Amino acid sequence: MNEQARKKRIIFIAMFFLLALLGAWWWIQQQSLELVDTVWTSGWVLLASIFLPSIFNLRKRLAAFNVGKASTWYAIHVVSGFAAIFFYILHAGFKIPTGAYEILLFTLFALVSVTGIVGYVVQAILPRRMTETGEEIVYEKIPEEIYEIRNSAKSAMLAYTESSGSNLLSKHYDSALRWFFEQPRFYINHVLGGAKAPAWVRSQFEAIRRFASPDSMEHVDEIERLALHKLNVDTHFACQDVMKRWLLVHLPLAVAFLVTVVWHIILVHVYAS
Amino acid sequence: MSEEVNSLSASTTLERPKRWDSAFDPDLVEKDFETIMSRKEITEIDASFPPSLPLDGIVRNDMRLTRLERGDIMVREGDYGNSAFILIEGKVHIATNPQISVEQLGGSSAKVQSIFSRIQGLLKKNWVPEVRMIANNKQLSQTSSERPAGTSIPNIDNVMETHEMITLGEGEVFGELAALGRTPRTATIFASTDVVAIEIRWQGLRDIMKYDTGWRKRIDKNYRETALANHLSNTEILKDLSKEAAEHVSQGALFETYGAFDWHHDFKNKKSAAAEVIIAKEGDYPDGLLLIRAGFARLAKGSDYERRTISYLGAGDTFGLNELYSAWKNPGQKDFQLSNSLTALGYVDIIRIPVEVLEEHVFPNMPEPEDLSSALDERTAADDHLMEWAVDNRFINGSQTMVIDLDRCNRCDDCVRACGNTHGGNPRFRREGDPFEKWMVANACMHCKDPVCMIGCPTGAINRDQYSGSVIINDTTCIGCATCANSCPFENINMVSIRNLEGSIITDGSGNGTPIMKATKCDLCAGRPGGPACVQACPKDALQRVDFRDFHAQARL
Repeated sequence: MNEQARKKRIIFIAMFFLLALLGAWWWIQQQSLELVDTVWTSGWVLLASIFLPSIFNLRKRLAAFNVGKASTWYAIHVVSGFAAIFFYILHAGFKIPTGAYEILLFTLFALVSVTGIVGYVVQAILPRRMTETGEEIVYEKIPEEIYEIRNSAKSAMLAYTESSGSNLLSKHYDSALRWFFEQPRFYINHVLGGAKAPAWVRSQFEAIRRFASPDSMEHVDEIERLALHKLNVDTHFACQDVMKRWLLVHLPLAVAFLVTVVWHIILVHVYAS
Repeated sequence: MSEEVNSLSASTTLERPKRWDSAFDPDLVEKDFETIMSRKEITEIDASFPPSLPLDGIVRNDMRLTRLERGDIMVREGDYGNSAFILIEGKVHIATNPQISVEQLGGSSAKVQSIFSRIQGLLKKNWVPEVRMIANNKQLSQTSSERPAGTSIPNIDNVMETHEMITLGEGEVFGELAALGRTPRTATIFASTDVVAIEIRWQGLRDIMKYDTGWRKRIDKNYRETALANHLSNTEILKDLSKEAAEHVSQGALFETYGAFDWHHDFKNKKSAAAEVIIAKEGDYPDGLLLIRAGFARLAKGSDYERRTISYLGAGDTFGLNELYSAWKNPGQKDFQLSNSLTALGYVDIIRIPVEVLEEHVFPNMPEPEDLSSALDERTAADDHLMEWAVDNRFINGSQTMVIDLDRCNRCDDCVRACGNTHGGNPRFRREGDPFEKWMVANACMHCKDPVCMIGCPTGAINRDQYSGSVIINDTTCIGCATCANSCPFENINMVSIRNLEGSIITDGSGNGTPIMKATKCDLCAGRPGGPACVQACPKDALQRVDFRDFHAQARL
């Protein structure tokens, strides 16, 4: 899709919700001026702004139907999610609740909101970090990829040992590189975009090159190439893992929150009547 | 010592492979060869062929006798054939009004899915992929005495009675224009009696035309009378010519072909290192305007390692116009040269309009063409890098190439899931590919402009949808031969074994457990309202289906 058209669509959705938000706020303010209890109005508006984000998940199950682009639904999800924070404050006020059930509601809402914002930020940052590796690896294929890298590294290490007659590389492999090639490493560092992982690899190979046989340097080059490739795989693993796990936190919390909201509405109506 | 040298040289040399290493009909019997050689179409050839390319060699290696029964389809409308026919016994017919339906030819048209069937699919989640109902999947050959669907016209007597027909008899030549021009067959031709025909593959046809004036004149005349005028009138600079001038242009046009018809085999093995035949060289004197009729050509500047791809030309594009116009406008100026090179990306069919014809009949009546050379000169290597990548990988062939913006893609695989959900649980593409900058072309059918996968399908199961133009596969008539999957240079067609509702693999009943295979690929969610589910399902708008010519401009904004 044309980038400009995409931005226009997102801005249109954002503006629409901003206007709705302002309208709802104005309505509540008017009721307040008329000495009407605004908690009912703000409650229903809050429910609407909670309901809208929750239907985004429904969209994924309707692939066979033409129910609009998922990106439109996602934009509504994000904008109405942010609006829900505003309406929550309007509904409950700036205070920490005291009742057990209210504390549960508040905690779940806070967690859903925080994980939602974290997810939004993560999805804006981590894809670029993966693109910068210059490689693309499907998450499910990462274990297979690491297995192949490890086997190739072992073969190159053995080839070095055979051609040079020295155990320098094999000892270093056992003491340091085996750990690196075993599984994804430097998880947090890759997520945060730090330079620790490439610095570690660089230092390992500087140490090896200082003592390695010049005639067998091609095998060292090969292991270093594999290590650099492994860094890219690790970056993909860390970033994709965070993006998948984040959803596993956000989604159950959102479901739990919706359940408590439904019970809250039932309780309020039972006691109000 | 000398023996060692001899044995070494014997073991390290090999006769250079020729195209005749693979004959059109490896089982051509001597009697059939003699039948072909005795035909007047061959005996009347009065040309001197080079020793490396004798006429009997062409006959033996590039021709075969095709025998068909009444009702058999010889040429299927929309197919990409690579051979022409000379009828030597029997009669064939072309249905003109009404034309024979796609379904009768073994293909299919996308049908819009009903709401009911979509709700049914939503409620009845089937976790077994590639399920087929055996009863619905039986071909005609398995349900009655008729021949397999797609290979013959069902109910031939009825078709003969209800359609207006053109009859072709002994000595008629047909199929040569599509074979040489790599364009879809324009009509369906079927045997109305038992038929024997000489089938000539395009290489043989091209070589005979090259050396024999009679064959060349006959086929050129046929092309001039049928398709050339239409092509010229669709070319931007020629469309406003007077009838008389257009006639002169048509008579003066020359026909040329470059590259290999089966370029996809070379490309599949060598990728960006695949051979490219030079059509025109930068710095050479321009002697005619080149109109691309079919195929693709690389427009490049510079030579060797400094060669930079500026763009690519496809059907309807022209080459050399600015240089020729400038030479005509400024007759005193010397040293007119082509400012770019043109090389064939696979097979290219070209119409050359000589400079004399242009100067007399075209240039006086046309506005001065826009000179883009200064804008091109200002472009840097970085500007052309994306185009270079697209051309090297032949992504330009796609009309609906799946491009993913990796900066935006959050790798959620919602696109893959949506594809699976609309295709019985098995996605029709892989979210994999080599990235370039922030772009990645995924392994999804690109619905090529030059769909080499359609060459050689024995039943016509893989065909172009007559409404959308996308390349689709009729699952019922697909016999699982994998010709299309092997031909696709992008490996975007997958062969799958089909299963019944219980999840068991369906076999052919021969007792040895051989599974029934079907070719599957992206069908752009044919029949799904709203277009491809993958595009619709992407929450970040990261996935697009593009034509690279439009995409390049958009990506470089």
